[in-house]
Amino acid sequence: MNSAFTAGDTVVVTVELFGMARIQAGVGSVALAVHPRAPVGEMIDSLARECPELIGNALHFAENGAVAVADGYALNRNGLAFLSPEADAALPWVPGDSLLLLSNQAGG
Amino acid sequence: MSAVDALYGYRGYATVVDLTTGEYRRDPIPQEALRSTIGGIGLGTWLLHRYAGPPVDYDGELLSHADKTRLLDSALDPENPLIFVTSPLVGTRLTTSSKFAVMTRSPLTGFIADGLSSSHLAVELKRACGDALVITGRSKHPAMLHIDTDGVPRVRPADHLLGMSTMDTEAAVKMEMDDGSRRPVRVACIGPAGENLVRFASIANDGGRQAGRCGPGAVMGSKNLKAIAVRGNPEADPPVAHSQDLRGYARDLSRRSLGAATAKYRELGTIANVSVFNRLGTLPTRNFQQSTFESAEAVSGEALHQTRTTRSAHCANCTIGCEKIVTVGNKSNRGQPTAELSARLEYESLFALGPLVGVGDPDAVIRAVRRCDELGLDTISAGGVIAWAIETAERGLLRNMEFGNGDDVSNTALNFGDGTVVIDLLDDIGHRRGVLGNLLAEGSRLAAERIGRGSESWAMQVKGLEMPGYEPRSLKTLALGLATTPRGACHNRTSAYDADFSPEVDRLTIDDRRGRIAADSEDFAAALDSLIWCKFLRRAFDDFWEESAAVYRMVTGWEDFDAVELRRAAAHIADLKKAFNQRWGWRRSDDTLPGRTLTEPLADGVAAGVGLTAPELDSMIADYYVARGWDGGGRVDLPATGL
Repeated sequence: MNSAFTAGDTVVVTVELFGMARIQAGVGSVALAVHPRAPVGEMIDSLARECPELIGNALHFAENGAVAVADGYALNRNGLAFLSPEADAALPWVPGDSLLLLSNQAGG
Repeated sequence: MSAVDALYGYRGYATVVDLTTGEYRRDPIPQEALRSTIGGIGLGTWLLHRYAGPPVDYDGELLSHADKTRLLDSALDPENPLIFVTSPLVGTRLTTSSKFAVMTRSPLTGFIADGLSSSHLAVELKRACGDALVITGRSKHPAMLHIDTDGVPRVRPADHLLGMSTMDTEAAVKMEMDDGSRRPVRVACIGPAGENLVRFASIANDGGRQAGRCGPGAVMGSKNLKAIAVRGNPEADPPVAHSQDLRGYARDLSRRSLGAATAKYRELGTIANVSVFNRLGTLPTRNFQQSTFESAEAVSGEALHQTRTTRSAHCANCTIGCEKIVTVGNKSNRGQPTAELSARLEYESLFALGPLVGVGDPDAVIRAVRRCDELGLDTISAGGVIAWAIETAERGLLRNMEFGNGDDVSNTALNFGDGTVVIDLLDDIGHRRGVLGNLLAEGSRLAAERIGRGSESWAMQVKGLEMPGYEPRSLKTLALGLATTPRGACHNRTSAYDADFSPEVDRLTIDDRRGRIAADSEDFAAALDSLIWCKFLRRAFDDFWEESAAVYRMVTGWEDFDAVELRRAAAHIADLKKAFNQRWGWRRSDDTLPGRTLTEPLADGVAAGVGLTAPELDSMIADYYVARGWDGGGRVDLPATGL
């Protein structure tokens, strides 16, 4: 139940990197401990701290100063649902979840 | 000044060459046809209707294997035209615009074959031949068609070129035509596969680039035409109506083409798809028996970037540079690359000669892709038919199979994952060598019909064209696109996967929006393919339809042409393609997917257990027909197309 979450709760979510993001970060994935209700924006902020090499590439500073996913990239949850920026915080994170950072340019 | 001379952006005619007689003529193309079909594949489809002649006697009933083979063989008759088409944008400085279309009726599908290739040849074709070069008839002897700055086609002997690879042919022709001019001839040619009428032979240009799908190389081979060599007169470039505006737009578009919208293509190229598709359960593996590949990381774009010497290359007049020339051998262990051990590596080629045939050795994949380019083989179909053969052999249905001439293939050990066998089979196919090579050169549909024993259900093709590297069961919108596009199983004539790889739809389920999405994506592709823009540019436009219509006005001077008319033209082109297939015996049952796709749920990956049933597909197809304005049986109203 959502109401069961407290401020101190954390869950480990794996951020999986693809394409140049993987090469720039030098790793294929990063484990982040986040609150189960963490918005994606907060996770991106944590990712930027773990992998500062991504800033200026897959990540950038938005106009409001927050770190955001750069144009040309997309997010996907667990290899299934592609996330829209507005709806992405609807479901709580659970252990074993993954957030995929990948190019939004399908095809080829 | 005549009406034709007053055209901007177009030449207003096609050069028609009859190889049987060696004669040529220039046929005017009406302005209304140019405007309503734009150029490239759109205009090419109109020209195909004009020059393909009346269909063979065909009553639309189910065909026997022999009858179907006869229908397909008729695409290799002299009457089937081979048409090279340019576009109004060819010759401008617009990025990615140096492209031509190749149109014919496919000996693999029996239906429309519409290929695209980026090439310097496009500019020379427009200068020397007009808006299109239509080749009909059949030369008595191996021939090369040479068209120089006077625009007069000359048929030259080409016996000395027979058997040469595509790269060697191009080099030999250029050397032969070298007159010391600073402007070389540009060449399109076939390799041994085209000479041997392999049904999925390609036409090559610019050092190994291919107009690959549907077998245009076999049609060229059937005409005894090994190569065309073209050098036009730059003074023949048609004027642009608003050249200053166009130059400004071209600069801006080039700048945008180097931004985030094309980053994947510029950085790792399309081979970046491998690791993503594997994670998403959309990487067809071992003939679509799996949707993930245990060796995907080894052949991924990321790994190849780090372990292999890779350099980027640009198509003619392109700023993006998506091509990645990858060299065999781990770069930490070897010196400089050598040309004979490198290949242009695209996702589709890598998928088809890697995961699809179970090969996880990157060097084996590079060698196989290189071999296809040398032989002039479509990599997707080559991988597809080999994957079918391996699965059939592993089921024990191919070994010891006696054929009509008493030969058998009992000594052929086929197993997934053996890169050496793949290359051997490519050579056998390209030369139609042996029973198995001959069988596979027919494509997976005919091969499976000949073998039977249920193998048709794992012949992964639609309308005879082998499937690209997208698993339709986990990409439901694309599944609809693959089932319905007139070309057969093609991801380039529908961009329906864009919806699947976005929050717009749930890619694992269906709903009643997919018909509209698939039709719109097909129209989008038709506009891109007719103007002709590269698809990798598609996200660089702020508003594709408005911008493209504005560019068309700048080029042609037709000031009342707007985005609405461009959309109408795109839908019209889709109708014309369908109409062509109808004339050549299309039936409702041709719009489908392979049996495996509709009967077996996915076995692995994040989408394990997900399937696609025939009723689900039929439901989407019905919605698609409604979106297209076709009748419930999927037929376009032929008179309404203006034919």
